This record gives sequence, structure tokens and C-alpha cells, in this order.
Amino acid sequence: MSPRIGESGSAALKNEEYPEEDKKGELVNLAEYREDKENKESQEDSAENVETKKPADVEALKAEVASSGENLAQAEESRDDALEKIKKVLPDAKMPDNIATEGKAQQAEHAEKVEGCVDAMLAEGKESSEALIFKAEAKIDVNDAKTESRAKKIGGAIVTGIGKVGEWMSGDPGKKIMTGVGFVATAIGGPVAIGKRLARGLVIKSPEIAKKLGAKEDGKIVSGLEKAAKFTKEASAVGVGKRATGLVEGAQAKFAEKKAKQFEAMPPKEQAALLEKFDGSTMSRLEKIMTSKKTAIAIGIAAGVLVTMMAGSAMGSILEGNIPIPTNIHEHVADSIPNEQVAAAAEQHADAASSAGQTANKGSFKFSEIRKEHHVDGNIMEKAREADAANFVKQAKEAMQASTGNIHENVSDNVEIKHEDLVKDTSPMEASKPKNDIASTLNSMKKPIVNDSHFEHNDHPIVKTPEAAPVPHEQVVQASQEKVVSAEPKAAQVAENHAHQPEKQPMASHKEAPLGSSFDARKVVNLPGAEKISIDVLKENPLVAEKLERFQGAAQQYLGQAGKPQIGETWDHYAKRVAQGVQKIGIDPDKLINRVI
Amino acid sequence: MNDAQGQTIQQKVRDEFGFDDLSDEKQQALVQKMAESIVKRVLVDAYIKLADDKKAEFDQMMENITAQEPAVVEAFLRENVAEYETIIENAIADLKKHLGEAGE
Repeated sequence: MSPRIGESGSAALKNEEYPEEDKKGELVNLAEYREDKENKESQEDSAENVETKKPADVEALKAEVASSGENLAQAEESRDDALEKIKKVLPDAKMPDNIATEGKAQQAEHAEKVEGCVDAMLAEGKESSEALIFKAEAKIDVNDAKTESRAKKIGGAIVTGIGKVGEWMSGDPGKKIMTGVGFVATAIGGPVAIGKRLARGLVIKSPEIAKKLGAKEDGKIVSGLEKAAKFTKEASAVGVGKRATGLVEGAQAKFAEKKAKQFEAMPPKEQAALLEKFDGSTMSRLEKIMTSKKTAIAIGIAAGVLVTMMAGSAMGSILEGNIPIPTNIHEHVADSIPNEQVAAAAEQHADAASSAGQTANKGSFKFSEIRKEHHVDGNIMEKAREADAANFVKQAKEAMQASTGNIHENVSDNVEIKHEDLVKDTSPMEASKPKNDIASTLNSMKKPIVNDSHFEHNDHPIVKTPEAAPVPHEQVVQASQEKVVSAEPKAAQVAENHAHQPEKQPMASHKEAPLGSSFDARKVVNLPGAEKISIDVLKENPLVAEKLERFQGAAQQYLGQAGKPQIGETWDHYAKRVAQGVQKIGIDPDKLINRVI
Repeated sequence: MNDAQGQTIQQKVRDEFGFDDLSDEKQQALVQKMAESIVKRVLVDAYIKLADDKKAEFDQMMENITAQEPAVVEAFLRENVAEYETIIENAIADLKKHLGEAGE
């Protein structure tokens, strides 16, 4: 109640708090009076709302979403910009917790507005597909607004350029974006997966649907079957060719028929257990295996086919308890490559997935913990993806065990191989080679280099080397430099490098694997005497510089920092080192060479 | 499992949610919008990393972007931006982050 004119606020309040009855001497409980009054006011408000409240205006809500998205984008851009500036001085700087929390709150607020608008659209009778598209676009708009904000800070032609990207992509040159190979197509591997994820998200998150599906909590129950089918359905919608469509449909039908029978034969309890296991996070992890690393290389049509095939076969494999997804991916890639360019990218894609799958078997750190840091360092995100893959495989195994009992008994993926057995395989020549300084150092420590190997999946030995005592880094560097002219790195050196950096080289083998018979570094650099010339010098030669860069790029994709040439390292040494490195993680070195030439 | 429960969850979702209504065309449009968003981010972030003389060259490309072949733009950026792949990956990751809550 507002104070009347000529009356102080406190006087007015006093009159309100002590009504007429009190003045007449009746006992009044002030607290009760206030409570009654508040209740009455609340009832009045409700009545008023009933009279005046109108159905939510979707257009007004959309405008709110747009405005909120704009604000969110600008705030995010400012925060990111500030952090980038700080990181120029302090490379390890992270977003302060309070600012990160504030950012999350803003994101949540915006997401709530989006959801509110989606609800209003559905209530208004809009089609769910329209709501889905709105939801997706609202989120994409935030991303765009953030980019535009960044571009405006730069100013100039880049603002014009990004303003015309839409036109570019729908024009003649841009058509290649959606169907061919190119830098924009490079990016499309991501959206394909995102689109599926988003669509799935709407299905999972819709309370109505979740309840109709019998979910106790929203978003808990969505079957692996349905998701896998959704993968195939949506990927095929990206626009695959006739042959590709046939493959997709074939896989989908075969997969669906087999799995549906299996699934439906299960008792309800087992079904529920399986469904619970294959919740959003698990599927998301599957996606990350497929979208990690070089999946960004996946291209237009091929991306749809590959992702589809991978999703179908991967989920099929998981449901059967066969975890080595990358093997299947390779098989499908071989069957679904429309042309040479696509084949090359597909090969890379498959290799990457294979690599990620192998990494998945390592099982180490938690994705959620590392993900928090991905703003800070792209490499950390990479690690997170790998770790996430590890968690995924672990969970998939658990799901299988929970739902199908001893299915793993039929999968020979836990064959224990003792160190002694591996040592027996070492060739006499290898054993008789003189030890270098570091090998001697390691021997003097009397620590086993390989102490507990076993095959997990994919037939690649996983070697645990946590007990290898650290050797001063300087010794490694020194030894590496000494060995630059060596034609063949010794087995002990490889092993000891693993001992130094177990976290970077977990897939160690205690001996060198022989290179494939067709491996020939001259396919990349075919200059007389090049094998004894250092990489740095060779890179000055325009005839081979580009190939070397590509080779190094590919090597780093597989091996990380270990894929970089060392200072003064000769081409011959580097090529063999990389080839042996990739071979250790199950990649055919010839493929790497073929990708470069 | 009774008959109603026997209906696959996939069918239920399709029937109840009407997901089939999301036509191929609409899905493609959505995917294109996502790709656009990533491309914009890649262009901006790559521009930031370019050397000054290369920025001038890239400006010319951007002024007339609709006439540019994607492969040419890609080749230019790949040649002149060392962290090009990382930029793409980050752009995808950022879009995923924005879309994340929809799928998690």
C-alpha cells in the first residue's frame, strides 16, 4: 500500500499494521494478521492472473530468446577474449571459478528461455519438428552471434566475409560444401553428429515423450536400439547416394531385425537395465569416439555413410559384447567408399577411430574432470575425448555384463600374455645388440620395462609401465641427439622412451615391430641422399617441403608430439621412427605414406 | 511384455513425437546452418592467426567471398595458419558446447 499524500510512510504502515479493531482494544496478533493479509493478497493475485493471463505469445518468446542469446553471446565473447589476453601472459591461466559459474548461469537462463518457447510452441500446436528446428537454431544463433561479435572487434573485410557465408554456401561454389571435399566440408563432419545428437536430445528431454516411454525421470530411458536406428535414419537424410543409401538401409534393416528380436526377448527387468545403461551419456561417448580427432576430416556424403555405418555396426557390436569398434569401422569403410578422394579421407577417418578405440582401451582419467579445462588447451580436450572413449568402452562392457551375463566369455579379448612370453619373441639379434647408455641405465635399475602385458581388444598389447623409474630428461635428449644418424632406433630406446613418458606412450611394445615390406620412405622424399639430410634442411627444398609437412602433420595426428622431427633428425631416421610409432598403435605405416603421396 | 509394451520404443517415439515429420530437407537445412556457423568461426579465428601481409590477401578474398572456391580458401588458410586443424576442431567443439545441453 502506498503512503497517502501528506502522510509519512511509517504512519501509513502503522495504520495498516494496526487496523481499527486493534484501536478498539481487541487483542490482535500481528503475525497472524500479516499472514492472513498475505494469503488474501496472494489469492487476489491468482484470481487476477486467471482473468488476465493469456496463452504465451510464441513470437514474443522468440524475441526474448533472440535477445537473451545476443546477450549471452556477447558475454561469452568478452569472457573468452579476456581469458585469451590473460593467457598470452600466463599460458596456463584458467577461467576463474566465479566467472565460469556466472557464465553457466547465463547459459542456463538462456536455455530455460529456449525451453519455454519450445513448450509454448508445442502448446500452440506447432509441429515438434518445428520446435526442434527452433531449438537448434536458437543455439546456433548464439554461436554465430559470438563469432560476429569477435569479427566486429577485428573489423574490416572479415565482417563482410562472414556476413556472406550463408550466401556463399548456398551459391555454386558453396554447393561443393555440402557434397564434396573442401575446407567447409571438413567442418561438416561435426554438424552431422551434432544434428543427430540434438535431435536425440529433444526426444530424450521431452517430458511428455519420456513419460510415455515409461521413464521415471525425464531423459532416463531411451534404448540403444532406438538411438542406433536414429543414427542411421538421420545420417541417411544428409543426402547419400544410391549405393550409400543401399548400404545404410541394409545395415539398418539387418541391425534392427536382429537387435529388436534380442531386445524384445529379454525380460522387462533386463530391458530396463540395458536401457538405463545406454543413456544419453553413454551414447554421447560413442559419438565422441567417432567424432574425436580426425573425424572432422569426414566429408559430405561420406560422412553420412561412415557415421551411419559406424553407428550401426558399433552399436550392434556393443550389444553383442564385441567392443573392438574400430575393426568394424575399417571393414565398413572398405565397403562404402564412393571415390578416391573420399576413400582417402575415409581411411584417415577410420584410422582415427581405430586409434581412438585403442586409446579407449587404456582407461585412465575422467572426461568430466578434464573437460572443464578444455577452454584452456585444445590438447586437453583431445585427451578428454580419448579418456571419454575409455569410459565409454568401460561402460559398454558393464552394460553388456549386466544385461547379457557372460557374453564376454565368448569374446577372446582378455588373453593374458606374460612378459616372459613376449621376451621369447625377441629376436636373438635384437637381444645381442649393444645397449646404448639409456638402456644400460635402465638395466642398471633392474626394473622390468614390460611387466604386465595383456591383450584387451583389437589385438594390441597394452603395456603397463608405471614402475619404470624416471630417467633425467637430459639423458633422453642427449641420447636422441646421439642417435640421429642411426638408421634404426634400438628396441631398448623405444621402450625407455615409453618408460619416461608412460602417459604419452601407453601402447608400448617391448620390441620393435618390423616394418611392412612395402614401406619405403622414398615414396615421400625421393631425392638422392635425402635420407641423410636433416628434416629442417629438407624443408627448405620446395620440391619436398609440402610432402614433408603433410607427413609430419599425419605423424603428429597419430603420435602427438612424438610425431614431430627432432632437431637435426635425418629424414631416414624420422620416417622410420614415425612408421614404427604408428605401427605400434596398429596403423599400417604404408597407409600413412600413401596418405601423403 | 504385453502388446502395448511390445511395440518397439523406436516406433513409439516416431508415433508419439512425430519425428518423421522432420523431413530430409529440414534436416539438411539444419545441418547447413550448423556448418555455416562453424565456417564463420573458422574464418574469424584463422584470420586472427594470419600474418599481417597474409591478412591483406585474405581480406581481398573475404570482400568477394561468394566468388571464391572453398578449396582455394582452404588451401590459403592451410598454408598460412599453422594451427588450422585445431581451429576447426575448436570451432566444432564450441558449437557442440552451445548445442550440448540439448543432447546431454
